[in-house]
Amino acid sequence: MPELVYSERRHRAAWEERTDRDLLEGIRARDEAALDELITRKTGPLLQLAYRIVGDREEARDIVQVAFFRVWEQVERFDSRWSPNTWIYRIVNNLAIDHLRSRQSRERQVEPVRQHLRQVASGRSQRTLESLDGSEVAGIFRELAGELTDRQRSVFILRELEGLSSREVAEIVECRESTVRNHLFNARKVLRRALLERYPEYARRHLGGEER
Amino acid sequence: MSCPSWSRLVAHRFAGADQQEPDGWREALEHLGSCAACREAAYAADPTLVLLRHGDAELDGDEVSRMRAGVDALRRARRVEEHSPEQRSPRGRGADHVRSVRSVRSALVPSAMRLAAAAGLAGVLLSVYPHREPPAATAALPEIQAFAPSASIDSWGSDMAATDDFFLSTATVYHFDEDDLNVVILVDSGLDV
Repeated sequence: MPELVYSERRHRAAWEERTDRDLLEGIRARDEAALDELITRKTGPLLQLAYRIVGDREEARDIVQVAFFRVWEQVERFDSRWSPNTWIYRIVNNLAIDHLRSRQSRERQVEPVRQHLRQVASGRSQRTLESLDGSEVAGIFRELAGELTDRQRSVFILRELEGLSSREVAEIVECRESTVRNHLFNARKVLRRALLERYPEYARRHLGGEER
Repeated sequence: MSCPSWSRLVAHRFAGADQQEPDGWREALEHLGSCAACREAAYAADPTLVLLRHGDAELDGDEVSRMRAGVDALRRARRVEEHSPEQRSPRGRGADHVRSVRSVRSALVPSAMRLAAAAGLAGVLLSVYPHREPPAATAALPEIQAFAPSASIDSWGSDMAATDDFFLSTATVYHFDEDDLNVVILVDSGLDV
Protein backbone atom coordinates (compact mmCIF):
# COMPACT_ATOMS: atom_id res chain seq x y z
CA MET A 1 0.00 0.00 0.00
CA PRO A 2 2.75 2.56 0.85
CA GLU A 3 4.26 1.88 -2.56
CA LEU A 4 0.93 2.60 -4.15
CA VAL A 5 0.63 5.91 -2.31
CA TYR A 6 4.17 6.83 -3.26
CA SER A 7 3.47 5.99 -6.86
CA GLU A 8 0.35 8.13 -6.85
CA ARG A 9 2.23 11.06 -5.38
CA ARG A 10 4.87 10.76 -8.05
CA HIS A 11 2.16 10.63 -10.66
CA ARG A 12 0.58 13.82 -9.32
CA ALA A 13 3.92 15.55 -9.02
CA ALA A 14 4.63 14.74 -12.65
CA TRP A 15 1.82 17.06 -13.69
CA GLU A 16 3.14 20.03 -11.75
CA GLU A 17 5.68 20.91 -14.40
CA ARG A 18 3.33 20.48 -17.33
CA THR A 19 1.55 23.21 -19.27
CA ASP A 20 -2.16 23.96 -19.04
CA ARG A 21 -2.56 22.43 -22.46
CA ASP A 22 -0.92 19.22 -21.24
CA LEU A 23 -3.32 19.16 -18.30
CA LEU A 24 -6.31 19.36 -20.62
CA GLU A 25 -4.86 16.52 -22.66
CA GLY A 26 -4.46 14.56 -19.43
CA ILE A 27 -8.05 15.28 -18.51
CA ARG A 28 -9.10 14.16 -21.96
CA ALA A 29 -7.38 10.87 -21.14
CA ARG A 30 -9.43 10.82 -17.89
CA ASP A 31 -6.39 11.30 -15.65
CA GLU A 32 -7.71 12.60 -12.34
CA ALA A 33 -4.28 13.81 -11.28
CA ALA A 34 -4.34 16.22 -14.22
CA LEU A 35 -7.68 17.59 -13.05
CA ASP A 36 -6.28 17.93 -9.52
CA GLU A 37 -3.36 19.94 -10.81
CA LEU A 38 -5.66 22.15 -12.88
CA ILE A 39 -7.76 22.83 -9.78
CA THR A 40 -4.64 23.64 -7.78
CA ARG A 41 -3.43 26.00 -10.46
CA LYS A 42 -6.63 27.76 -11.41
CA THR A 43 -8.83 27.93 -8.33
CA GLY A 44 -7.48 31.31 -7.22
CA PRO A 45 -7.72 33.20 -10.51
CA LEU A 46 -11.07 31.68 -11.43
CA LEU A 47 -12.58 32.47 -8.05
CA GLN A 48 -11.35 35.99 -8.47
CA LEU A 49 -13.02 36.32 -11.84
CA ALA A 50 -16.30 34.76 -10.72
CA TYR A 51 -16.35 36.90 -7.59
CA ARG A 52 -15.83 40.05 -9.60
CA ILE A 53 -18.71 39.14 -11.87
CA VAL A 54 -21.29 37.94 -9.34
CA GLY A 55 -20.08 39.87 -6.29
CA ASP A 56 -20.60 37.03 -3.83
CA ARG A 57 -17.87 34.73 -2.61
CA GLU A 58 -20.01 31.67 -1.97
CA GLU A 59 -21.74 31.92 -5.31
CA ALA A 60 -18.36 32.38 -6.95
CA ARG A 61 -17.17 29.15 -5.35
CA ASP A 62 -20.17 27.26 -6.65
CA ILE A 63 -19.67 28.64 -10.13
CA VAL A 64 -16.00 27.69 -10.24
CA GLN A 65 -16.81 24.25 -8.90
CA VAL A 66 -19.27 23.70 -11.71
CA ALA A 67 -16.76 25.13 -14.18
CA PHE A 68 -14.14 22.55 -13.22
CA PHE A 69 -16.76 19.85 -13.48
CA ARG A 70 -17.59 21.09 -16.95
CA VAL A 71 -13.94 20.99 -17.94
CA TRP A 72 -13.88 17.35 -16.88
CA GLU A 73 -17.15 16.50 -18.61
CA GLN A 74 -16.74 18.54 -21.76
CA VAL A 75 -13.01 18.47 -22.40
CA GLU A 76 -13.70 16.85 -25.76
CA ARG A 77 -15.09 20.20 -26.86
CA PHE A 78 -11.79 21.92 -26.24
CA ASP A 79 -10.21 22.79 -29.55
CA SER A 80 -6.44 22.51 -29.38
CA ARG A 81 -6.15 25.74 -31.40
CA TRP A 82 -7.62 27.64 -28.48
CA SER A 83 -5.76 28.93 -25.48
CA PRO A 84 -6.60 26.70 -22.48
CA ASN A 85 -6.88 29.73 -20.25
CA THR A 86 -9.27 31.43 -22.62
CA TRP A 87 -11.49 28.36 -22.80
CA ILE A 88 -11.66 27.95 -19.03
CA TYR A 89 -12.24 31.65 -18.49
CA ARG A 90 -15.04 31.50 -21.04
CA ILE A 91 -16.73 28.71 -19.11
CA VAL A 92 -16.55 30.67 -15.86
CA ASN A 93 -17.64 33.91 -17.51
CA ASN A 94 -20.65 32.25 -19.14
CA LEU A 95 -21.69 30.48 -15.95
CA ALA A 96 -21.34 33.65 -13.94
CA ILE A 97 -23.28 35.75 -16.44
CA ASP A 98 -26.04 33.15 -16.62
CA HIS A 99 -26.15 33.22 -12.86
CA LEU A 100 -26.51 36.98 -12.86
CA ARG A 101 -29.40 36.74 -15.27
CA SER A 102 -31.40 35.12 -12.58
CA ARG A 103 -33.70 37.86 -11.39
CA GLN A 104 -33.81 36.33 -7.97
CA SER A 105 -30.05 36.51 -7.61
CA ARG A 106 -29.98 40.09 -8.80
CA GLU A 107 -32.62 41.23 -6.37
CA ARG A 108 -30.97 39.41 -3.51
CA GLN A 109 -27.56 40.89 -4.09
CA VAL A 110 -28.19 44.46 -5.06
CA GLU A 111 -30.56 45.76 -2.44
CA PRO A 112 -28.61 44.86 0.69
CA VAL A 113 -25.43 46.12 -0.90
CA ARG A 114 -27.08 49.39 -1.88
CA GLN A 115 -28.39 49.91 1.62
CA HIS A 116 -25.04 49.08 3.12
CA LEU A 117 -23.21 51.45 0.85
CA ARG A 118 -25.60 54.27 1.55
CA GLN A 119 -24.94 53.77 5.23
CA VAL A 120 -21.22 53.67 4.68
CA ALA A 121 -21.32 56.77 2.53
CA SER A 122 -23.52 58.76 4.87
CA GLY A 123 -21.54 57.73 7.92
CA ARG A 124 -18.21 58.59 6.39
CA SER A 125 -18.80 61.82 4.58
CA GLN A 126 -15.17 62.76 4.93
CA ARG A 127 -13.97 59.72 3.05
CA THR A 128 -12.39 60.13 -0.33
CA LEU A 129 -11.99 57.69 -3.16
CA GLU A 130 -8.32 57.37 -2.26
CA SER A 131 -9.17 56.10 1.21
CA LEU A 132 -11.66 53.36 0.24
CA ASP A 133 -10.38 49.86 0.80
CA GLY A 134 -10.66 47.00 -1.66
CA SER A 135 -13.86 45.55 -0.27
CA GLU A 136 -15.54 48.96 -0.29
CA VAL A 137 -14.50 49.43 -3.88
CA ALA A 138 -15.88 45.97 -4.63
CA GLY A 139 -19.20 46.97 -3.10
CA ILE A 140 -19.35 50.14 -5.14
CA PHE A 141 -18.51 48.27 -8.32
CA ARG A 142 -21.18 45.70 -7.56
CA GLU A 143 -23.78 48.39 -7.42
CA LEU A 144 -22.58 50.37 -10.41
CA ALA A 145 -22.17 47.26 -12.54
CA GLY A 146 -25.93 46.77 -12.33
CA GLU A 147 -26.12 49.50 -14.96
CA LEU A 148 -23.95 47.62 -17.41
CA THR A 149 -25.08 45.06 -19.94
CA ASP A 150 -23.75 41.54 -19.44
CA ARG A 151 -21.21 42.02 -22.20
CA GLN A 152 -20.07 45.38 -20.89
CA ARG A 153 -19.65 43.91 -17.44
CA SER A 154 -17.61 40.95 -18.67
CA VAL A 155 -15.43 43.09 -20.89
CA PHE A 156 -14.76 45.68 -18.20
CA ILE A 157 -13.84 43.03 -15.64
CA LEU A 158 -11.68 40.98 -17.97
CA ARG A 159 -9.90 43.95 -19.55
CA GLU A 160 -9.62 46.45 -16.72
CA LEU A 161 -9.64 44.35 -13.56
CA GLU A 162 -8.08 41.12 -14.81
CA GLY A 163 -5.73 42.93 -17.16
CA LEU A 164 -6.26 40.63 -20.16
CA SER A 165 -5.54 41.84 -23.67
CA SER A 166 -8.33 42.88 -26.03
CA ARG A 167 -7.63 39.80 -28.10
CA GLU A 168 -7.97 37.46 -25.12
CA VAL A 169 -11.16 39.18 -24.03
CA ALA A 170 -12.54 38.89 -27.55
CA GLU A 171 -11.91 35.14 -27.49
CA ILE A 172 -13.53 34.72 -24.08
CA VAL A 173 -16.68 36.65 -24.84
CA GLU A 174 -16.68 35.45 -28.45
CA CYS A 175 -16.75 38.70 -30.36
CA ARG A 176 -14.42 40.91 -32.39
CA GLU A 177 -11.70 42.99 -30.81
CA SER A 178 -13.37 46.13 -32.14
CA THR A 179 -16.55 45.08 -30.31
CA VAL A 180 -14.54 44.61 -27.14
CA ARG A 181 -13.21 48.14 -27.46
CA ASN A 182 -16.71 49.48 -27.98
CA HIS A 183 -18.06 47.65 -24.94
CA LEU A 184 -15.15 48.86 -22.84
CA PHE A 185 -15.58 52.46 -23.94
CA ASN A 186 -19.30 52.39 -23.20
CA ALA A 187 -18.78 50.60 -19.89
CA ARG A 188 -16.38 53.31 -18.72
CA LYS A 189 -18.86 56.03 -19.63
CA VAL A 190 -21.73 54.28 -17.87
CA LEU A 191 -19.64 53.63 -14.77
CA ARG A 192 -18.37 57.19 -14.57
CA ARG A 193 -21.86 58.63 -14.91
CA ALA A 194 -23.26 56.18 -12.36
CA LEU A 195 -20.43 56.83 -9.93
CA LEU A 196 -20.89 60.57 -10.07
CA GLU A 197 -24.68 60.28 -9.78
CA ARG A 198 -24.82 57.78 -6.97
CA TYR A 199 -21.88 58.99 -4.95
CA PRO A 200 -22.06 62.76 -5.23
CA GLU A 201 -20.17 62.98 -1.96
CA TYR A 202 -17.18 61.62 -3.85
CA ALA A 203 -18.00 63.41 -7.06
CA ARG A 204 -18.00 66.82 -5.43
CA ARG A 205 -14.49 66.35 -4.18
CA HIS A 206 -13.28 65.14 -7.49
CA LEU A 207 -15.05 67.69 -9.61
CA GLY A 208 -13.50 70.21 -7.28
CA GLY A 209 -10.19 68.50 -7.87
CA GLU A 210 -10.60 68.84 -11.59
CA GLU A 211 -11.16 72.55 -11.29
CA ARG A 212 -7.99 73.12 -9.40
CA MET B 1 8.95 56.84 -12.09
CA SER B 2 8.01 60.47 -11.50
CA CYS B 3 4.36 61.42 -11.09
CA PRO B 4 2.75 61.69 -14.54
CA SER B 5 0.11 64.11 -15.77
CA TRP B 6 -3.07 62.17 -15.12
CA SER B 7 -5.41 64.49 -16.95
CA ARG B 8 -3.37 63.86 -20.10
CA LEU B 9 -3.02 60.13 -19.46
CA VAL B 10 -6.71 59.39 -18.88
CA ALA B 11 -7.92 61.42 -21.88
CA HIS B 12 -7.81 58.33 -24.13
CA ARG B 13 -10.29 56.49 -21.92
CA PHE B 14 -13.18 58.71 -22.90
CA ALA B 15 -12.08 60.01 -26.28
CA GLY B 16 -13.42 57.12 -28.34
CA ALA B 17 -13.55 53.36 -28.57
CA ASP B 18 -10.54 53.09 -30.86
CA GLN B 19 -8.20 55.17 -28.77
CA GLN B 20 -4.95 53.43 -27.95
CA GLU B 21 -3.41 53.48 -24.52
CA PRO B 22 -0.77 56.23 -24.43
CA ASP B 23 2.86 55.36 -23.88
CA GLY B 24 3.59 54.80 -20.24
CA TRP B 25 0.00 53.94 -19.32
CA ARG B 26 0.76 50.56 -17.76
CA GLU B 27 3.74 51.92 -15.87
CA ALA B 28 1.61 54.80 -14.61
CA LEU B 29 -1.01 52.37 -13.32
CA GLU B 30 1.66 50.45 -11.41
CA HIS B 31 2.97 53.71 -10.00
CA LEU B 32 -0.57 54.62 -8.95
CA GLY B 33 -0.63 51.72 -6.53
CA SER B 34 2.19 53.14 -4.45
CA CYS B 35 1.76 56.91 -4.76
CA ALA B 36 -0.94 58.61 -2.69
CA ALA B 37 -0.48 61.96 -4.43
CA CYS B 38 -1.00 60.31 -7.79
CA ARG B 39 -4.16 58.58 -6.60
CA GLU B 40 -5.74 61.90 -5.71
CA ALA B 41 -4.85 63.39 -9.09
CA ALA B 42 -5.81 60.26 -11.00
CA TYR B 43 -9.22 59.86 -9.37
CA ALA B 44 -9.90 63.55 -9.88
CA ALA B 45 -9.22 63.10 -13.56
CA ASP B 46 -11.15 59.83 -13.83
CA PRO B 47 -13.03 58.49 -10.79
CA THR B 48 -13.55 55.11 -12.48
CA LEU B 49 -9.87 54.40 -11.96
CA VAL B 50 -10.72 53.66 -8.35
CA LEU B 51 -12.54 50.55 -9.55
CA LEU B 52 -9.20 49.07 -10.52
CA ARG B 53 -8.62 48.64 -6.79
CA HIS B 54 -11.48 46.14 -6.63
CA GLY B 55 -10.95 43.83 -3.65
CA ASP B 56 -9.82 40.26 -3.96
CA ALA B 57 -11.96 37.21 -3.31
CA GLU B 58 -10.01 36.48 -0.08
CA LEU B 59 -9.32 32.81 -0.54
CA ASP B 60 -9.45 30.49 2.43
CA GLY B 61 -6.36 28.50 3.28
CA ASP B 62 -8.01 25.26 2.25
CA GLU B 63 -9.74 26.70 -0.79
CA VAL B 64 -8.14 24.29 -3.21
CA SER B 65 -9.04 21.28 -1.05
CA ARG B 66 -12.63 22.44 -0.78
CA MET B 67 -12.79 23.01 -4.49
CA ARG B 68 -11.34 19.59 -5.20
CA ALA B 69 -13.85 17.93 -2.86
CA GLY B 70 -16.73 19.80 -4.44
CA VAL B 71 -15.72 18.88 -7.97
CA ASP B 72 -15.20 15.30 -6.89
CA ALA B 73 -18.71 15.25 -5.44
CA LEU B 74 -20.15 16.46 -8.72
CA ARG B 75 -18.26 13.79 -10.60
CA ARG B 76 -19.57 11.17 -8.21
CA ALA B 77 -23.06 12.47 -8.76
CA ARG B 78 -22.55 11.97 -12.45
CA ARG B 79 -21.47 8.39 -11.82
CA VAL B 80 -24.55 7.83 -9.68
CA GLU B 81 -26.62 9.09 -12.54
CA GLU B 82 -24.88 6.82 -15.03
CA HIS B 83 -25.87 3.80 -12.98
CA SER B 84 -29.60 4.15 -13.19
CA PRO B 85 -31.74 2.77 -10.33
CA GLU B 86 -33.23 0.13 -12.62
CA GLN B 87 -29.83 -1.45 -13.07
CA ARG B 88 -29.16 -1.83 -9.36
CA SER B 89 -30.89 -3.90 -6.84
CA PRO B 90 -31.79 -2.15 -3.58
CA ARG B 91 -29.36 -4.53 -1.86
CA GLY B 92 -26.64 -3.41 -4.20
CA ARG B 93 -26.08 -0.20 -2.31
CA GLY B 94 -22.80 -0.85 -0.60
CA ALA B 95 -20.78 1.21 1.78
CA ASP B 96 -19.00 2.94 -1.06
CA HIS B 97 -22.27 4.03 -2.56
CA VAL B 98 -23.52 5.40 0.74
CA ARG B 99 -20.29 7.27 1.25
CA SER B 100 -20.45 8.82 -2.17
CA VAL B 101 -24.09 9.77 -1.81
CA ARG B 102 -23.39 11.44 1.51
CA SER B 103 -20.55 13.30 -0.03
CA VAL B 104 -22.69 14.31 -2.96
CA ARG B 105 -25.44 15.43 -0.68
CA SER B 106 -23.22 17.61 1.43
CA ALA B 107 -21.69 19.19 -1.62
CA LEU B 108 -24.72 19.48 -3.80
CA VAL B 109 -27.55 20.66 -1.62
CA PRO B 110 -26.19 24.11 -0.87
CA SER B 111 -24.73 24.38 -4.34
CA ALA B 112 -27.95 23.43 -6.03
CA MET B 113 -29.89 25.98 -4.05
CA ARG B 114 -27.59 28.76 -5.03
CA LEU B 115 -26.87 27.68 -8.55
CA ALA B 116 -30.25 26.49 -9.56
CA ALA B 117 -30.81 29.15 -12.13
CA ALA B 118 -27.31 29.08 -13.54
CA ALA B 119 -26.46 27.41 -16.80
CA GLY B 120 -24.95 23.98 -17.22
CA LEU B 121 -25.71 22.34 -13.97
CA ALA B 122 -28.76 24.47 -13.48
CA GLY B 123 -30.63 22.52 -10.92
CA VAL B 124 -34.01 22.55 -9.33
CA LEU B 125 -34.08 21.61 -5.71
CA LEU B 126 -37.42 19.95 -5.51
CA SER B 127 -37.47 18.97 -1.90
CA VAL B 128 -35.35 18.51 1.16
CA TYR B 129 -37.20 17.20 4.12
CA PRO B 130 -36.76 14.93 7.11
CA HIS B 131 -37.38 11.39 6.12
CA ARG B 132 -40.46 10.89 8.21
CA GLU B 133 -42.28 14.02 7.12
CA PRO B 134 -44.57 13.77 4.13
CA PRO B 135 -43.46 15.70 1.05
CA ALA B 136 -46.52 17.93 1.21
CA ALA B 137 -45.21 19.36 4.45
CA THR B 138 -41.84 20.26 3.04
CA ALA B 139 -40.45 23.53 4.23
CA ALA B 140 -38.61 24.00 0.98
CA LEU B 141 -41.62 25.12 -1.01
CA PRO B 142 -40.53 28.76 -1.27
CA GLU B 143 -37.24 27.61 -2.75
CA ILE B 144 -39.07 25.38 -5.16
CA GLN B 145 -41.00 28.35 -6.38
CA ALA B 146 -37.90 30.42 -6.74
CA PHE B 147 -35.87 27.85 -8.59
CA ALA B 148 -38.43 26.38 -10.94
CA PRO B 149 -39.72 29.13 -13.18
CA SER B 150 -41.01 26.80 -15.88
CA ALA B 151 -42.97 24.40 -13.75
CA SER B 152 -46.11 24.42 -11.74
CA ILE B 153 -45.52 23.32 -8.19
CA ASP B 154 -49.10 22.33 -7.77
CA SER B 155 -48.72 19.68 -10.42
CA TRP B 156 -45.98 17.84 -8.55
CA GLY B 157 -47.41 14.96 -6.62
CA SER B 158 -45.81 13.33 -3.66
CA ASP B 159 -44.55 10.51 -5.84
CA MET B 160 -42.51 12.76 -8.11
CA ALA B 161 -39.28 11.90 -6.36
CA ALA B 162 -39.15 8.52 -8.02
CA THR B 163 -39.57 9.95 -11.47
CA ASP B 164 -36.66 9.87 -13.87
CA ASP B 165 -38.50 10.87 -17.01
CA PHE B 166 -39.41 14.39 -16.04
CA PHE B 167 -40.75 17.45 -17.78
CA LEU B 168 -37.32 18.75 -18.65
CA SER B 169 -35.92 16.54 -21.36
CA THR B 170 -32.31 17.34 -20.47
CA ALA B 171 -32.81 17.12 -16.74
CA THR B 172 -31.67 14.39 -14.41
CA VAL B 173 -33.25 13.53 -11.11
CA TYR B 174 -31.03 12.73 -8.13
CA HIS B 175 -32.83 11.13 -5.26
CA PHE B 176 -30.83 10.68 -2.07
CA ASP B 177 -32.94 8.69 0.31
CA GLU B 178 -31.13 8.21 3.57
CA ASP B 179 -32.02 7.62 7.18
CA ASP B 180 -32.22 11.23 8.21
CA LEU B 181 -32.83 13.09 5.03
CA ASN B 182 -34.60 12.75 1.74
CA VAL B 183 -33.28 14.99 -1.03
CA VAL B 184 -34.49 15.33 -4.59
CA ILE B 185 -32.50 17.47 -6.98
CA LEU B 186 -33.12 18.09 -10.65
CA VAL B 187 -30.00 18.86 -12.60
CA ASP B 188 -30.19 20.29 -16.10
CA SER B 189 -26.94 19.90 -17.99
CA GLY B 190 -28.54 20.79 -21.29
CA LEU B 191 -27.08 24.27 -21.60
CA ASP B 192 -23.69 24.28 -23.24
CA VAL B 193 -20.76 26.56 -22.84
